Amino acid sequence: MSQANPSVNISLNQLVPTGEKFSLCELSTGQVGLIVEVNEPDQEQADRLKALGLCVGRRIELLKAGNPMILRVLGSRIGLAHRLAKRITVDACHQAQCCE
Amino acid sequence: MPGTATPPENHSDVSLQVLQPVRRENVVALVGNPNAGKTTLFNRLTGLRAKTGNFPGITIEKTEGSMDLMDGHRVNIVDLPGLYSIAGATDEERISRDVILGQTPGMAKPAAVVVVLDATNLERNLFLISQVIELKVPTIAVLNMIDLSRRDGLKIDADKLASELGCPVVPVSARTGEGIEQLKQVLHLSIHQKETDRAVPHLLHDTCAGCSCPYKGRYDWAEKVTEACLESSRVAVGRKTDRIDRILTHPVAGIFGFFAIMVGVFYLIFSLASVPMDMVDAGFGWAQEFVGSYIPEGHLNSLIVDGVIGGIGGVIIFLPQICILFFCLSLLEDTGYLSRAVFVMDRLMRHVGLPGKAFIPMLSAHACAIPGLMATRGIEDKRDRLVTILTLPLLTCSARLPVYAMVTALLFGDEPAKASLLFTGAYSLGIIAVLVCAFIFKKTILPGQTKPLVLELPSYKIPSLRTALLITYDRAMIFVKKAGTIILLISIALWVLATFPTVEPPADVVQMRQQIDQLQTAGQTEEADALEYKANVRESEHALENSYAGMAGKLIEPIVKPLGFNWQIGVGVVTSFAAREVIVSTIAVVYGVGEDVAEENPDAFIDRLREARKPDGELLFSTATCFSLLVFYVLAMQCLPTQAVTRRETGSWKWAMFQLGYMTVLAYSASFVTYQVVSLITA
Ligand SMILES: Nc1nc2c(ncn2[C@@H]2O[C@H](COP(=O)(O)OP(=O)(O)OP(=O)(O)O)[C@@H](O)[C@H]2O)c(=O)[nH]1
Ligand SMILES: [Mg+2]
Repeated sequence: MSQANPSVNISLNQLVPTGEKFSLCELSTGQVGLIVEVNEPDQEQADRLKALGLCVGRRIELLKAGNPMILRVLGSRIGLAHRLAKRITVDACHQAQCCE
Repeated sequence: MPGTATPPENHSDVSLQVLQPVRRENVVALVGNPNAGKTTLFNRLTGLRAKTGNFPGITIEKTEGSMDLMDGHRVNIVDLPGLYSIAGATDEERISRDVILGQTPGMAKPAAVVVVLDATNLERNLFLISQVIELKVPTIAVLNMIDLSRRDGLKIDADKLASELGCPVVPVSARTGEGIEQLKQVLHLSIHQKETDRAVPHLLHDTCAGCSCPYKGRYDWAEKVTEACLESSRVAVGRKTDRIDRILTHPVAGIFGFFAIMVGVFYLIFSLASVPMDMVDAGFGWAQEFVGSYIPEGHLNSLIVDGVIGGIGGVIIFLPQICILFFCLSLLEDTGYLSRAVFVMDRLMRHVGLPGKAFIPMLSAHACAIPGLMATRGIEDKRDRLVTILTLPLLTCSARLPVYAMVTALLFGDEPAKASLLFTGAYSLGIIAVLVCAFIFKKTILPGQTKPLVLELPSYKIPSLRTALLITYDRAMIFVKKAGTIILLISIALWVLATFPTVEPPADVVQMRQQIDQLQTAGQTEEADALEYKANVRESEHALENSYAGMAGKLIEPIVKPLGFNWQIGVGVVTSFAAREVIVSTIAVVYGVGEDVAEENPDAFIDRLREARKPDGELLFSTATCFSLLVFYVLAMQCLPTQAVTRRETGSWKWAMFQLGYMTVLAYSASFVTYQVVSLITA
């Protein structure tokens, strides 16, 4: 329990997904998830999201829940509206696992 | 720190003696993620001053410049807008792709494509460079911001990266100049090769071996390469930024923080600008006297002193405020705060149909609507962009400051607290008008939802003082140029209209002059002087009423009367149609005070206005008229250059005309209501 803060010095890549799938909106601040689906009907918008790293297989860390929310993906910080986050499904990683 | 890293198989045996002479124009294109520092590097290489800032999407159009290599060969450098991907999905991506592939008409195929990578965020940046390399063009990777990555304790193995990418990798800091010489050498080698000899890079590992989603494969590749090239274990970067953001992006604290920052900037403007403003004022007063004393009395003297020097001086006096505003905004922009402001304002703005991204153009519109309109190019959605363009000129630009200052002086000459409240009120009115109009447009002509926000929030950086000073200088020059061209022309034209046709003095003035003569012979010089002053004023009033400007004013009078304006103000409204500042000088001129009186002794000018009466004996600048005038100038279009830019940015006169129409109707009705209501209250 001494390493309570999971976000320090841990590569997101080491985290193991739990198999529980949520919409990105349902994650809470500090949680990490693996993107399993991006279901954005607007093609241009979808391409923009993917080019920013919001694409299947990437891990995201929710830095701040809310609308808009802030998340970290590929080492950069992205502000994202709820309306888009709804379209993204993630496989949440458990905090406990993150700390190994 | 490793120097220039070269992949083993390329470039190693190129020596200067066998290089081919260059004949054709050489082009080097700069590409990279938004905010990677392309423009900073461009400025460093070319010595130019394109706009930079810690906000993704500052550069909106490709910019060209040139640089001389060591042997004097000239190279054209093209700075491109930032891109996350070059797959060709959007228009900007296609434009940049065409430049890279040499398919842009009138531009040669680049001898080298320089991909600027942000060393503090290698993984995301690698995505783009892998796409560029796969286009099979001669590529050079620039690992920018190594000053920052070093500070953060990130160690990147440039040699390893070079072999992974198959192209040279040059670590640089565009801000400090570190590594720029190496970059020039690499460019030199690359450019002096024959086109066919130029090495086309190959990725060491394929990005997408039989994968279904092209993005996924490429990201997996980027992840692996990053892993391989980072010598230090991954350290948490940007935690300080995250901590600051917890406050600045908070739904409540964030908005307070935003207003605190804005109030701080305004406070600086009002508190610091007064001394230099007085100096400018005194300088022009002195110039008027000095020049005036060398030109014989008459039309020419009046034209130069009142029309030219007075007209320009009345506007240049606001230069210090403009400089301070731009200096502060530039520093703020360079810290990275602006994307946080977008983030918190998005919450408020999307309810009325404005995208959060409209915030940045709107912020720059507080200096001038024109750069604001151009910055709307950062808004991708057409509807969102149009709403922003249509409402943006309602915001208080620096050209309105002279009008606000005049009205404030008339109403609350010696009550600074009330005066600053009135100023804030005028600014707020502009902002409220934007929100209301955007909402009405959303409900009527431009239905639809705003595009949801997706925005990168860059890490905070220490702002560059040099950049801020240079931007301030450039903006100041633009302002001075405007004063020296448009405003000068209008001032001269106005002077002509207010001076001709010349008429005989009226009977009462002739009588007064006879009295003056009598007083003088009787030795009562003081009384004579007082009467002389009165006679002069009366004479110029009479002359003005019968001048072209006076005749036009009489025509306008019935239209502006419901707003509490008389014909003199009416003339001001019309002459300031092309540029708002002109209302102030117009009022001074048409009041027969003469610009020189207004300049040498501003109090005299304001006092006279304050005492001016309508024919029925009522005060002309009553409280109601002042408020009405202020409201009118907050809301009215009154700026020809803005109209031209709206036309250019929307592609048709239709929207420019619509904008003029709705703003004029809005200004007229709001000003009418203000006049009637305030008249009732103060009656
Ligand atoms: N410390 C440091 N800051 C840098 C360096 N290069 C650029 N910057 C800063 O990074 C920010 C972005 O720089 P720009 O040159 O505007 O970036 P750009 O790639 O042209 O961005 P867009 O035009 O928006 O795509 C600015 O605040 C620069 O001052 C560097 O080497 N070191
Ligand atoms: Mg740029």
